[in-house]
Amino acid sequence: MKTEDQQPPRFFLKLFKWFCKPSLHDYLEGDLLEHFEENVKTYGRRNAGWRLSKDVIKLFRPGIVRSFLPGQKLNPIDMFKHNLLITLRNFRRNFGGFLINLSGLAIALTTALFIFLWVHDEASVDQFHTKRDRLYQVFLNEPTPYGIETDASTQVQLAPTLVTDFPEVDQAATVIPYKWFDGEKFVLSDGGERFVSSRNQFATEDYFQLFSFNILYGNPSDLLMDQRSVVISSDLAEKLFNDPNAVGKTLEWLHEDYGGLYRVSGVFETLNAGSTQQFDAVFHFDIIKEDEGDEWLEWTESDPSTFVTLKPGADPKAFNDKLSKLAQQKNQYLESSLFAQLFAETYLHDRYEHGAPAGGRISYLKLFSMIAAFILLIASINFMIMSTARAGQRMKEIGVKKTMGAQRTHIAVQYLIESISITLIALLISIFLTGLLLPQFNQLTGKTLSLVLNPRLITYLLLAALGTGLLAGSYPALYLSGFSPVKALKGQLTKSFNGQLMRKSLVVFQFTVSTILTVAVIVVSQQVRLIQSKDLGFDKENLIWFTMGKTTAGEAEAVEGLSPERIEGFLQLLNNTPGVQSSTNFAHNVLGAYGTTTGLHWEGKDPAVNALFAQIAGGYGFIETMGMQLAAGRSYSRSFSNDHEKIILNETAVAAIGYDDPIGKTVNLWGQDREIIGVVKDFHIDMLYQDIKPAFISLSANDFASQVMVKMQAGDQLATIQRIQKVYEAYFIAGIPFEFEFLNEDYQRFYAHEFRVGTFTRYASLIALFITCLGLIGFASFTLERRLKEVAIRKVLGSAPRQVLALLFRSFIKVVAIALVIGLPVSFVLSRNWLDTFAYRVDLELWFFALAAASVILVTIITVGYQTLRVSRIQAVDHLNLDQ
Amino acid sequence: MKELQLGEFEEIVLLTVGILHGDAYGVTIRNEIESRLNREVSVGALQTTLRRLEKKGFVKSAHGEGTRARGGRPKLYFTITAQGQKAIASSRETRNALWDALPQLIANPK
Repeated sequence: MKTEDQQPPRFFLKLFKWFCKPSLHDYLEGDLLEHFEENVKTYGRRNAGWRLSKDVIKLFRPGIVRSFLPGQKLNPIDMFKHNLLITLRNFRRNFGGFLINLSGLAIALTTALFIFLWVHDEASVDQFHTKRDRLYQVFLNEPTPYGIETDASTQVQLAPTLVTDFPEVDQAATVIPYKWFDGEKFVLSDGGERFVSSRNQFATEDYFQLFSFNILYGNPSDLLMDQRSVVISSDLAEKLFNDPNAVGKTLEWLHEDYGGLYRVSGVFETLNAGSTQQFDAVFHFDIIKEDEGDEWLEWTESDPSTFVTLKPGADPKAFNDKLSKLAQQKNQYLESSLFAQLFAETYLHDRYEHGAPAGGRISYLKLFSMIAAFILLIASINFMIMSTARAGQRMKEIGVKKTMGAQRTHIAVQYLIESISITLIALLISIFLTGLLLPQFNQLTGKTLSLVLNPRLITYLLLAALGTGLLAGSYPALYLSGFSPVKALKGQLTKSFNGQLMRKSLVVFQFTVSTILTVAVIVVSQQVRLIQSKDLGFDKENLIWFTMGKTTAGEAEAVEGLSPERIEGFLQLLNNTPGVQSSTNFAHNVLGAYGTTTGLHWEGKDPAVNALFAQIAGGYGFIETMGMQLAAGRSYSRSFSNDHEKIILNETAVAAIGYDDPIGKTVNLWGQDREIIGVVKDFHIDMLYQDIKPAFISLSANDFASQVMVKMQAGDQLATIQRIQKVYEAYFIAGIPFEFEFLNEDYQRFYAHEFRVGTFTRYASLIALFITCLGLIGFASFTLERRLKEVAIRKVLGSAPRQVLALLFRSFIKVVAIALVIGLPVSFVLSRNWLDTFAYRVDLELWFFALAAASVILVTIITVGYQTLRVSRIQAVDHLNLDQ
Repeated sequence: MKELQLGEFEEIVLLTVGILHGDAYGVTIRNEIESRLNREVSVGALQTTLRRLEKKGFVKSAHGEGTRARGGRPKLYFTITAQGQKAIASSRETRNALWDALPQLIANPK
């Protein structure tokens, strides 16, 4: 007998067996062992072992090493044809299963494709600027009592300072975007009778060099060279001059502050949704700078947006470090600080916490990409479950193949080919479906996506299909190829507890995902309903608003602001119009945009607290038109002559000030004492993510409040609007476009993102649940078939159909119950995290989860119901005489 | 001519297979070369050469018996073929022709 220390090193023999050609292995291993035996005698065990290891390593050379490619020795094309044939035959033989798999995969791929299109579109916003790698936007962090607020408004002096003081800065531009005007409509004319409304913005000279808007006409390098230059979109040029090439033509802006004649120096291609910067015309920044005056240049003031390009190779981190100290260097009393963010990232990373970017749209992109992946996974799992469940039917095939010399890899490849072919068919269907449903999807997302099959998209699609196919085929390939040929031929189903357990866990996983999504649907829809029905403190129904027109035009500088009398006259006419309940003028945009000030003082105010108040400026009748409720006192009224020296607060403001009985007391606003004449109940102007802020309503009867809000009576609103339009056109210069918006629609737009998430989640969970059920049908029919004999015996022994039914159902419910136990807690945590972002949110109630659980169970019962019922009613004798 | 060409190690292996006449398999060939030429031969180098020779048709292999020392693994015996004999003969001829052409002075260095 050999003693233990005479054994050759096993590791190297194993290694050799692994890499050696099978045809050579036996002979060579014999040689190695014989050498070893001799060497042990001559040199001893240790040396002999060392020599063997050296020999083994030296054997690792071409000619000895086997091929690691599967099936290389077979003709690959013939094998492929064979596999494809078997695949098709299998599809035919199990057509029901094939359809279930195919529709599941097709729906999943369609969903994934839609989500991909959406994500791709979102991710390409603002990416068209050629300097996007070094184009930054500067943001301002302002400490407020509610935490650090991050804002795009920066100092007027910032851009020039950056260019002169920061050597790494290439160029900088200051911009007053159209959004800054809070929805005010601007009117341009061709100098004659043609009036067009336009979104105007102001920018400094280098603006068009930082950003790569497509300049169609004009010299790109001197577009805003002088104050009287304007650059307009091709659409605007077409509307104003009937000619896209408007360079050299003159237009008039009808405006009391910025009005006058401007020469078109360039025309850019009309912006599409791929740009966050939206405007129709760009005027020279000096126009607004001169209008605002010197105070605007102070470092304490911040209004415009600032953009910079760094020189190539400059270190953005070092730049940011320097930038953060800049504000204090310029004014030591400033508490705010500046930071720069890559402009191309501002769209997706648009939320700021503690003064730094913290997610935003990107988190929804990630969320939905994840949902897409999960749905694909669920569909893949269907394939796995069905192919392994049907393994019994294919045992003989695998057994014969293995006996004929097929290796494990050959069988695996065959299953992979099967799964990949089915995904490719599904891909074709999904491309067709996507094209068909794209218009609906666009409506849902408010985008104009198109399905252009460019090589890039096709590559992505093929990769996705291949990935899904490999994933779907991986487990069956691994599991089925591992059958022992002897057992397979004898028809013994491997007593594979593993296979059963694996299938069950896969089903549990599917239901867990479906449960989480179902809870998500309930939570999101409840929150959306809350947003929809939340008492905002004002009545957003039947309200339209628009910008007042102009009364003079034709000569530059002649356009003047409307006097309070003219505004009053217009409102009088509106109030007399049938269908109009009341009307008022106001400033800003009621939703989300308002002025804030720290200039409100009162007796006993803690001087250390920089209390921030929101300012809403409205004319007479503002509170009534908006449907706000007075908690105390009175509203502004024309019967008092000096109401513009008074003030109305909201309840939160009263609480912040701390007056017990505020009416008649005075506060000091911007150095002026104002008597509090009324208190309105709290109203929401911010998104419901935020708490209500202390606010006051001031009376502005002049042209500062140049927007008009009209409350219409319910009923025939279209006729009312037409009458309002007639009044408008008669009162102002004819031809100025009358463009109005429903406040309700603004509100919907305000929360478009939330509503969209609601709809998306609903569809996603429906799809996930549907695909899961498809899989369940397959799983159930298989499990039930295998239990036919058991059911027959039970019946013979006296079980009633009802008992059998309960027994069968129990096995399905058990799987679902496990899924619920896992899924519900997970969804609780996820829902709570999402809801935590809202200041006003629904409470997570037990019934959300109960409803989700009940619907999942109900769907399960409906899905497996028919099959289970059928099995419970079989004739026992039919299934006992079978020689199985 | 070309198909009869042999590399140096190929020639040694082919000759050794001939010498061992009927008892040539991996272990014996290696031992023979190592003892006669006093040079170390790795199993890998030997085996790839044998494969190459077999492919060229100079040797042929036959399945043999297994022994206990080999862990029961069969031996693979190599015998020289007619083509192989031609090859060594041709190799020897070319060498001889070259030797004959060599001037005396260089052929017998002191």
